[in-house]
Amino acid sequence: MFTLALRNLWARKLRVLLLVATIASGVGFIVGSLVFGETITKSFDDLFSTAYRNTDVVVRGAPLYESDFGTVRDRVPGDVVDEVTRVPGVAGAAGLVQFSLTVLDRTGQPVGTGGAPSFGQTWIALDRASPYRLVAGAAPARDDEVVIDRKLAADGPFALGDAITVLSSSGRSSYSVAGVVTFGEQDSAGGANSVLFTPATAQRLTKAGGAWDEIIVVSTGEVSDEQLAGRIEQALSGRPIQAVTAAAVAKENTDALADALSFIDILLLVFGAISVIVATFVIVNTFAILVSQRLRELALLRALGASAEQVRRSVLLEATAIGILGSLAGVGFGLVLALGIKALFAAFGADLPATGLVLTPAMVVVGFVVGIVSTVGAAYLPARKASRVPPIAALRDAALPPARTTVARIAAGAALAVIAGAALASGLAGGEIALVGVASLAAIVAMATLAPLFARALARLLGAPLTRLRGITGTLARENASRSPRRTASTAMALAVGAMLVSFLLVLSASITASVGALVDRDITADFTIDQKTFGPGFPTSVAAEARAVTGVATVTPYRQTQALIGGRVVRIVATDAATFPQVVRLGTITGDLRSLGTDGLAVRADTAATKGWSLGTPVEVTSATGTTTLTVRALYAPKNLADITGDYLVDLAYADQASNDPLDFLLFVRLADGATEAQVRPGLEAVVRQTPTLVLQNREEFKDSRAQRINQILVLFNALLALAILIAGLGIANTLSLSIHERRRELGLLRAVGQTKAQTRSMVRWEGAIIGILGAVLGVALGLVFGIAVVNALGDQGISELAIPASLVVVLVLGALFGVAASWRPARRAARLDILQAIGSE
Amino acid sequence: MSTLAPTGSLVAAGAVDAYKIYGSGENEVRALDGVSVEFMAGRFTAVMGPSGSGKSTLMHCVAGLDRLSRGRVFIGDVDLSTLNDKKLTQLRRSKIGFIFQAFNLVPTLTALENITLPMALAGTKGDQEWVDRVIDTVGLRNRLTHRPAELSGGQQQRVAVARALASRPAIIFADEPTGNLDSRSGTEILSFMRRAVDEFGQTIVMVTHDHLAASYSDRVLFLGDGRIVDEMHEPTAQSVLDRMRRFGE
Repeated sequence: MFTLALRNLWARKLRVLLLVATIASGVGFIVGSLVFGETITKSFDDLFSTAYRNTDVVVRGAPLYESDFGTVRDRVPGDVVDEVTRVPGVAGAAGLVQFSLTVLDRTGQPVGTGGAPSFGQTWIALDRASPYRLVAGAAPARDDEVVIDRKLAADGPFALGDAITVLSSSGRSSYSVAGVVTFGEQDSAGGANSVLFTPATAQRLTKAGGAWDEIIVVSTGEVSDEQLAGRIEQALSGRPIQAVTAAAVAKENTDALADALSFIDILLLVFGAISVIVATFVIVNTFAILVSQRLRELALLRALGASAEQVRRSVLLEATAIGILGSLAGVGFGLVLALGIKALFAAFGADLPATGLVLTPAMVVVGFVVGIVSTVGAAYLPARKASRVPPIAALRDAALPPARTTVARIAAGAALAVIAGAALASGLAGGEIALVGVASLAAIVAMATLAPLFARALARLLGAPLTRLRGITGTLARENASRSPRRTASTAMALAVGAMLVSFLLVLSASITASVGALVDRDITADFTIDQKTFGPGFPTSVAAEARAVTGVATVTPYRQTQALIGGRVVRIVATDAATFPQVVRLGTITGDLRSLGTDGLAVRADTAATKGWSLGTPVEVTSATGTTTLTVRALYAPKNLADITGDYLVDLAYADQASNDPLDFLLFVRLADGATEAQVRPGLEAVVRQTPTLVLQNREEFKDSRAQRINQILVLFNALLALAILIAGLGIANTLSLSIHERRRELGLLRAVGQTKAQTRSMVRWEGAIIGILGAVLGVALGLVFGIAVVNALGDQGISELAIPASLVVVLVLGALFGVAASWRPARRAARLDILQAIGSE
Repeated sequence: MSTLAPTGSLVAAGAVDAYKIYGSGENEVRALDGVSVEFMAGRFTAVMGPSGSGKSTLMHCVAGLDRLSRGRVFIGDVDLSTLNDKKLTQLRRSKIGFIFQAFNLVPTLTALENITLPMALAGTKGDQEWVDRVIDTVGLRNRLTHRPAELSGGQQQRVAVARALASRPAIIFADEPTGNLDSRSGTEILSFMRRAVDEFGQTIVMVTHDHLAASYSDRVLFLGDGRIVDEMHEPTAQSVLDRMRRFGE
């Protein structure tokens, strides 16, 4: 039986290749995700090990709260440095601040826009404590001198003695390049641009008031780092600090960054899962057809004495061999994929540290388990069917016994549909994305179970115009597509999975775009916005002041979103100029006075306040990056829409400036004075924006468009990733059609004999492909619509207030048909080339 | 051996010096070895011979389903060797009717759709009155909406006969049309074919190894080893059987 299985494989090389490619794509995404994740971790591990390689202990502030971007800590008071230095075993200690900035090149354009972050840091004068090594020039001696990394020097380009301009939260300032450094042996710290300032300059730029982000400590080597950390904590007990070994800090940082980038892993895993699902449909179908084609052969084996068990095993063995080949190819594909993503990062300027790809045996095992289990699992039903072939079938034209009754099918499908509905409902209610994923999987399987029941009717319906359009050729195509509903349904389902996700994304993105548009139309009354071109770290508050000075500008309202700890939970807080905010964004009925927020007031959305039992005058403890303050509720607002621009909590800039170590604006709302026109004021504002190249001035329409564009970019990326799954589905259609044609070759011969031209034969097969394609698209769009509408409804209170059903869904249907035609191209040509006499005479 | 056409008859189809050779050298097989033959219009010709005599090959080549190695075949005054695949296909659906031994019908089409299939493929309506007359002749009026799977073997073959007649082809080729049928259905089919010749002036060429079937024809050609070895006019079942027995000697 083993030899037979292998012979079967060899006899159908092309088909095997197709199945292998199908499995490989799914396995590839999964392995690629694992490899990329591990490589990222390793890269940052190397990066942070370098960063702290000369440091032994780090002294840092006590943790305040966990934000989405890591632990927020208090700064360390400046006098701690001296205290730490006095601890026995400490050779030296130095304070460090770090902050984000934008470096401008000589033409005034930002260096490394589009990805690579830039940051400023204190130059550590301490002997051998810094990871940076001078390779040219000297350490910054004066406060107007800086040292930059070798990559930045090359990218600028900046030579020793050149002037370099940076934008930080304190505005624009210029320095002279005193030296060039490497980060360990690397040209830069993981692709980021580093600018190193004197401690005094760094203090001034960050307004740290003598405090430090962390203190790095070098040991004399008398005691272990752990012991030294313990001694420091003991010596400074009572002060709000932590002393940790540098190794521990490096690991924390690595974990945090790997965590922040884990969305890429998850994305790849999701697409891997999608590919595996699509591949499963193709495999089930292919094996089912192969078994029905080999009916007589299998029956002959049974007649000659093979047991049912042996027949089943031979089919499963074939599947296992294909699974192994597919997994092998998949692991290779995964490595290529991981390399590709690394290259993509590099293209966006985020050079990951030069670490080779990490492939562990465990990843290979996972790849093989996924590949083999999904293949063998998919082949199981066809294999069982094969084992039920009665020996007598060898002697007569017997059909296989029906595998499942209609009633059982309906029951199974309905049960799955109920599970899908329940999972979707509870997933959306609880905000559990994973449950929504489970729901979509259940919905796909439910659809696959139920589809054979209505595939015939649907194919007839979709093909109905064909008779009128294409005459008998159309009728034949339609009838062929509907003659084997199970086969047609499962072929179409492979495509439906892709179509479902595409149309889901289309509905979601159209709804988001529409909601943003509606929000701007209804709730934003500003005439202009000044926005960052890309997701950046923010921009100096000086821009707002400059914009205010432009003639014709009535108000400029800075807008920031920040996080803080309220009532034990990390929440999003909007920080803005509370006095002018209601003039640019509709806040609904305002109780109390927004003007009175100041440094110790808080405004709360009315319904949030109601659930917490707060009213005007309630004191609320708020913990920010600079510590805990008690704010008083001074205003309540009740925006009509639930869009997130107003948030649940609102504070004034007066409070925000002192609550943040690095106050930066994210967006400015500009309102014009009465009588001033857009055209009059625009040149003045443009002049201000031009000073800061990361910014863009937009009127209301432009603002809407740019937001929609961002959403579309993401949509394009997702669709590109889905393209592979859709391609697999296309291979599946081609596969089914060529197998069907093989089955029908006698009929094709007859048609050719009685006068069907080759062109008509090709047309007939292609129209059949078109019907299958459009059927898949219809099923997919239906599912995608259900999920899209459900998710959009559930996200209503997250700002997606509008449900939009985009017309592009029709394009999905048309593409489905075209896709079916493309997939049937080769099978159609093969059908037309059949030798008539051989076909008529064949069994 | 040449055949003489009765004076006044038109030649519907034929072959001149036809060779069909497979392989070469030692493995050379001559399925047709210099056959010249004419099929008269309005006559029912049977082609007989033992297995491997070349009778099916002759029919396939004259019907434009296969090409000769050498020589010419013609339908009416059209030389088939001059036609490309498309023209040949068009000629098949307009000038030729086919009745095969089995699997004559497209399973997804109804009986009526199968009958009108060649005309539908040509994009024409055909002669509706004629189609009705054919349907009534073969007695399928109440089976028209049925699919082949819902018809008996005899009924399926009657649909095939109706399809062959429906487009009023210049010639019908039948390849063992009764081979898969019980004797009653077989007799029925042969009677229809005989009536088509007598009443409609249809030309029919039938390949068969059944002497009873051959007895319905006007003339029997005997093939052996790719050559025409004999022919018989106004055959009876007994005379055909006697002639066939001589092949075994």
